[in-house]
Amino acid sequence: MVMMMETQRIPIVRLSGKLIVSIQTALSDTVVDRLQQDVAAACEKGDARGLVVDLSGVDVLDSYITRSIRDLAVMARLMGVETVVCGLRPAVAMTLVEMGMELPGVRTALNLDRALALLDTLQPEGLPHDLAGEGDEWEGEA
Amino acid sequence: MNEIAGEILAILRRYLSEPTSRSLLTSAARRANVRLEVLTRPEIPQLVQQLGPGLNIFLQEPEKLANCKSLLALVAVENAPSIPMEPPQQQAESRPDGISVPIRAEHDVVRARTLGKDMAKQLGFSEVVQTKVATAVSELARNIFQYAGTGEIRIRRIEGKRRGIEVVARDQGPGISDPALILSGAYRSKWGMGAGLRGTKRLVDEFELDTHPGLGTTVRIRKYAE
Repeated sequence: MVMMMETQRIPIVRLSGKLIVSIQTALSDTVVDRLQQDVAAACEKGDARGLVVDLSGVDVLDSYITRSIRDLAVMARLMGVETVVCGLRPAVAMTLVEMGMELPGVRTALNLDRALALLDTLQPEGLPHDLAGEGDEWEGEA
Repeated sequence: MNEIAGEILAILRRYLSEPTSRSLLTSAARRANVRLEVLTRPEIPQLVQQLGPGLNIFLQEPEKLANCKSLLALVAVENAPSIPMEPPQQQAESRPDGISVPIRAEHDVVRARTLGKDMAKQLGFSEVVQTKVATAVSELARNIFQYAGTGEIRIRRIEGKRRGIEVVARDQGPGISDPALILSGAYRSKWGMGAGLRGTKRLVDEFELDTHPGLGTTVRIRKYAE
């Protein structure tokens, strides 16, 4: 059986100057890679004051995808767009901790509401980021 | 509707709405000439067969359709391995003792992961254990796709005093030249294989790695319900 499937795309929503990515599908590597590119392109436009990645619809995060999400957040921050990851399910969070994989250098919030509120409290630009430099140690132990 | 029919309904409910599931089930039962109030396991294959056409209509996504049928096939064989099964039509092959998912494309990684989670749920594992099983399957499937290109994931239930799930990931890829180094955490691959295998080991109760450079790798993991 041959199936021709176009690569699924995760929409990036613009809401009052912020970019919102709500992932509600099982993530394949290709979809995540595509998302990274799309977020980078959206950040490049320069009018975004923040990015929220909502993972409430994601029931499994493995090491590669976690790393990709983290890279995405760090990349956006490097482009001057503060990023908050939110909505991690309890079971997913527990699994990541057990695997020794956290999200170093990434701001997190309980849900979309709080993520948006957190973005509002962050200075949109100018101030040095207190998280700078924390992203080096991805695997934590070694 | 008795307990066995309830199990089937629960599987359908994972993919379809309540009314759709119920109407598919009752109409299939009518066609299969079985009564849901007193359904027995030997009757399941004929019931599942009658469910087929309805599922094909309502479950448009091939992946979900195949997963749903795999799970239905599993219900039939529980405690009754001697029942002759219809040869499965879908990609994931249902065996009496579990499911085999060939890993040939990136999409199969998602598929294996979803099946692992579905099966853990089916066995009544907690949400956290379901997630751990699915994550471990995802890591193993990705390693196969990334390093060996093709291989196979087999997921089966463990019966007995300790109920659980066993996952065997097998490939004929390049093998791992220094598994101890990779599992120790001193080695970090570009794609994170070290992190994946170490993470998998931490998520499960039993972990066995058998690898031969040039011949392939087999990883066997077990996770128990409690």
